[in-house]
Parts: sequence; C-alpha cells; structure tokens
Amino acid sequence: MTSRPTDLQAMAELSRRSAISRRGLMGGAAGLGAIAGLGLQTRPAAASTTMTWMGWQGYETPIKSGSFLAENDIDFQPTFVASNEEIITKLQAGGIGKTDLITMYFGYLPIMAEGGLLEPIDPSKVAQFGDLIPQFNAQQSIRFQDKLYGVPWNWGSLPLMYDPAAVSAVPESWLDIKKPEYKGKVAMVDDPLGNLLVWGTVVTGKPMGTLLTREELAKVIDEMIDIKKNHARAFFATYGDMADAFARNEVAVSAIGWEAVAVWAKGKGKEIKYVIPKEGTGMFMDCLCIPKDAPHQDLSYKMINHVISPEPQKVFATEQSAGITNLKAVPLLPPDLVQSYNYGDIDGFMTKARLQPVPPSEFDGTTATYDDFLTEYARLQKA
Amino acid sequence: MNRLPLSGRPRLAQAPLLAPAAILWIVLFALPLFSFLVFSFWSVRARIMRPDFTFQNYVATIREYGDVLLITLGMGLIIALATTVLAFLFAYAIRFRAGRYGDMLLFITLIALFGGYLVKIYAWKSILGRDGIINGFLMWTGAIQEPLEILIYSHGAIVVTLTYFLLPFAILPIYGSLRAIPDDLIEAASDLGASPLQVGRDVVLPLCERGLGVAFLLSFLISVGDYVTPRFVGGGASMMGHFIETQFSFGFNWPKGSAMSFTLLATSLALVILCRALLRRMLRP
Repeated sequence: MTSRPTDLQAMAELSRRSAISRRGLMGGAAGLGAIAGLGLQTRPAAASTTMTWMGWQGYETPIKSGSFLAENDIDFQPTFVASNEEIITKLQAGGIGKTDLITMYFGYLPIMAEGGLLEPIDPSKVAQFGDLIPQFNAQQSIRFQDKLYGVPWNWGSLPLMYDPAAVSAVPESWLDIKKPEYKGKVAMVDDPLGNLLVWGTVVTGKPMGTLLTREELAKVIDEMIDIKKNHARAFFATYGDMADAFARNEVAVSAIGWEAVAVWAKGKGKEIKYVIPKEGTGMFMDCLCIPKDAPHQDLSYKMINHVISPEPQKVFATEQSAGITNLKAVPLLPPDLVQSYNYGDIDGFMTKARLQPVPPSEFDGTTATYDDFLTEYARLQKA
Repeated sequence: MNRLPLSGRPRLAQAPLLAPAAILWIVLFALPLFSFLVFSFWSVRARIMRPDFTFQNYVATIREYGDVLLITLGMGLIIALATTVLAFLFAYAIRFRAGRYGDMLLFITLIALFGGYLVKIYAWKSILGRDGIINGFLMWTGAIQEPLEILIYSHGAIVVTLTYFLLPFAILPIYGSLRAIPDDLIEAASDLGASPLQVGRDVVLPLCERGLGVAFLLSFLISVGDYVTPRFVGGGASMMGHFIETQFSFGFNWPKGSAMSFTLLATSLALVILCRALLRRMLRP
C-alpha cells in the first residue's frame, strides 16, 4: 500500500482505490499508511529502538499484536506500499541500511538477493521455521546460492472472478472468457507476474507458466494481446479498480483475480464469486525478508519469530482472510478459513494453484529470461 | 522601455544573497539530474548498475519505445493545445468580459487548484463511467439506449482528465499577461479603426504571447511526464512515464530508465522550442 498524506476519510478511500498492483486493492489502506509514513502516529515517548518495516497495509497487524513491541521497547515505524515493486524501488533509492524488515513476494527473492538488496537469513535463528508448511519451505525461490532469503508468511491464489448474475454458467476454463457473450466484459489487471502465472500455463499447458521458451512466451503475450484488444473492457491499473468495475456491472468475468476482490466488491454491495478453472492458476506467497545492512538485525529476527508464531498468525488470518504458514496456528483458525484454504490437503490445493518462480536471470539456451519477459510484457502494455 | 533594476546583470554584491537559493538548486535539482544523466550511460549486469559509457540504453529506448514516445508526445501536444486554448478563452473572459464577476471567476480558478490530483482523476472516472453523469444524462434524454463505453478507458478520457487538471495552471499565466495589457492600448486600437477581431489578433494575442507560451509549456511537460492518469482512466493506454517507472522498479534497470527519461526530456524540449517558434511566427502582427 502506498503512503500518502490525508486528513479526510474520503481521501483514505481514494488512496485505497489508487493503489497499484495486485495488492493495490488493499490499496485503500494506502492513505492511512501515508499517515503512518508521515509520522502522524502516536509514538512511544521513550522507545529505545526505532524499527522500520515496509509492506502492505494490514500486514502490520500481527507485528503489533500482543506485547511484542512493548516488551522489546520498539518504536515501530511502518511504511505501506502499493506494490512489491515499490519496495524494490525504495530499497534501491536509499532504503538499504535504514530498513529492518520487509514483506516480499517469494518469486522476487532470487533477483533481489542477486541485486544485493537482501541479507541471508540464518534458519537456526528462526525457531519456528520447522513448523511452517513444508511445501513452502521447500520452494527453491526463497533461496539464492543455497542461502535462505525469506521466511514464508502468508499465501493465496489468483482465481477467475465472475459475476454470477451476468454469466450463463460458471466458467470452467480460462478460455471461456473469450466467449462472444463476454466481449467487452472481461477485466484485466496490469499485474505483470500475476498474468504470466495464469496465462503461461493456459497457453502452453506447462505447469510452470513462468518457465517458457522465448517462442512460448511470445505466444502467451500474443494471447493476452488478443484478449486485451478484442475482449477486455479495460486493462485496469489495480485489483481495486477491478472490484469497482464488477460493482458497476462493467465487467462479467476476469482474466486474473485475487480472493480479496470478492471481499471488496461485497463491500460495495456486489456479490462476485471466484473459481479455479481446469487449467489451474498461479499462487502467491509472501515472505519476511531482512534487507541488506538492516540496522537492528537481532530485533529483525525477533520480529520474524513473533510474526510467524501461532497467535499473530491467527490474528493475520482472521483479519485479512489470508492463508498462513505456521501449521501450529491452523487449529486456532475458524473452520471456514481452514476449509477455504484447504490446509488439510495443501498438496492438493497446490496442484490447482501453483507456486511458480520468476523467470531466470540468465539465458540457459532454452528458458526465456526475466528481461525477455519484461520486454514481451511491454508489448502487451503498449497494445 | 525602462528595465527594473533586478532584471539587469546581478552585481557581485548580490551574489551572497543568491547563494542559498543557488545551493538548494544545485543540491536538490542539478546534481540529482546530472547523476541520472551519468547513470543513463551505465550498464546493468546481474541486477546491479555498473559504471560504463555506452549509448546502448538510448538505442534501446528508440528501438523498443519509439512508438510509445511518439504517442506520448502526440498526446502531450493535443492536451497542451486544448488546455491553452480553453485557458485563453477563460482568462480573456475574466480580463475583458466578466466585469465585476472577474474576481469571482479568478477565485474559482484558484479553488480548482485545491483538491488532490487523485481526487480529480476519480471524479472524472465517475463522470465518464458507464453509470456516470454523462451517460446518465444522455440516456435520460433518450439520445442513447445503452451507455457509451467509449467515454472512459480511452485516449479521449486521458485528454479530458488531464486538460481539466491543467486548466488552472494554464489560466493563471495567461491571465497575468492579459492583466499587463493597458486598457489604453485596446482603446487606441479601436479608435484607430481596428475591429474587435483585429484587436484580439494584432494587439491582445501578441502581447500575451509569453503567458500563452508558459501555459503551453506547463501543460505539455506535465502531460508527457504523467503516468498515473493514463493508467486510471486510459484503461491500458500507456504513456512513456509508465514504462520509465517499470525500469526503475521491477526492471532493476536505472540506466535504461534514465536514458528513457532523458530521451523524453530532450524530445519534449525540442518540440516545445519548435512550438514556441511557431507561436511567435503566428502571432507576429
């Protein structure tokens, strides 16, 4: 979420909707985040250590839960962002050496580590690392050159959103959005990696839609250009805009999604539903990471241990309707949350919604690189 | 014409007075800009900027983003032209036609400067949207049966939104120029037989050329550099600023982003100089 100054509730709402990128939706929080960013929060009078954190609005609730901050005499200073990319920019533009902790989409960790933006994490200092969902801990993308760079924290998927009042049948395939009845009624969102997570698999049939040849990547982008030009209502800047468009009956189905969009639309009086089509979809997982030269690394570790402990995980899951990673926290969750995130069969869930790495940095003779992807994606943005 | 004393060459004694402003200008503007100019010749390997001296970033900018650059400059020209014309008409009305209501109109112009940038964007999203005021009115009158989808998420929506946002910035310099035109001069031209059209063309317009130039410059430069409005009301109609932002964020490529920025800056300035020359030629009595 972004940090913008505001003195009006309306401005906060406006800022929320202005946030950019997947969590841009949560963007609303942006405006309120701004307040925090400007230091308008009440500060403890004599806190001995100021700790800075960057992440999405709402992600700070588990950090603040319980007595962790008071016990460790911490003056907590959050900075809310509108996108993962904003964190990368802020770190590159002077945030290194001044930031204690960030949250980041796991796929970006190898690139950030390669770019010298992160400190390696010592798993022995994360007492509950072994309690985290093993499938997440096993992801290669949270490591770079055999060193750990992120602690799995929360997760979700990118389902197909649809308006039950506007569709004749629940879409079974992502390609159903190209039916004539949805012409001009498809919602797209400018979420580069998210789009690749979904459409890489749909177009090529490969389970890892981010690991494609250059020819396959071009086909994926061609398909998306076709959707953008011939089927989409708009290429929305944020998921919040997508929720607005559903609420205004401007769109009927989506080419990408996020569970939270349904919550936001409901807040605007519109019921929309979501489904994972037969091709499956992408999944996201956000990690806790320590930026390079973080000033209070011992406290950063303490904060990580606090955030992934059961009670703060429960707070986060219930307040944000998010998936969490500590298996010891699952019994504390309401049954509907346990069911919707299918904690009993994570492997089964992950066959439908897959965690995928970002494209590789270097060309290995076969797989299109991250730079190839950016170049191709620009073609979609220009179309 | 007499020159004001401060408009002449600064005396040596005045230099210390200018020093604080000069230092601020150098530290906060010139040095950062210069550093990005230097970056634009560097290269990136393994996501890290490396000192270098290559024109590759500029070549890539033209090759990969030449089309977006042209669209951006074109959009900037259309918006700047529309804004300047509307601003001139409004400022002219305030100065010569509104009488005692002139101050009120000027006050309204200043009021329009308040309110956030995003507030205005979302206001226009509401106005131009499927269930917005315009579609509602047209359907109420029976002029259309279905809402016009074209009103929003199009290049036209970008032009409308940015023109509205920029109007106050354009009105003020033009109004300032018009205020400086003595009434005597207008009356003299009329007394000598000039028609109202001739007075406007041969007296008013040439004398407010500087205000028109400033208004055009502001409108054009702000338009070509904007990337938020196109994203929110353009529905995917991207302009150069968006691609520059990409390079500075998840593109990990500040050198390329810098080269794209300076290419946009250089072409914009060239276009502004050309437009200014054309304006002067057109307004020459």
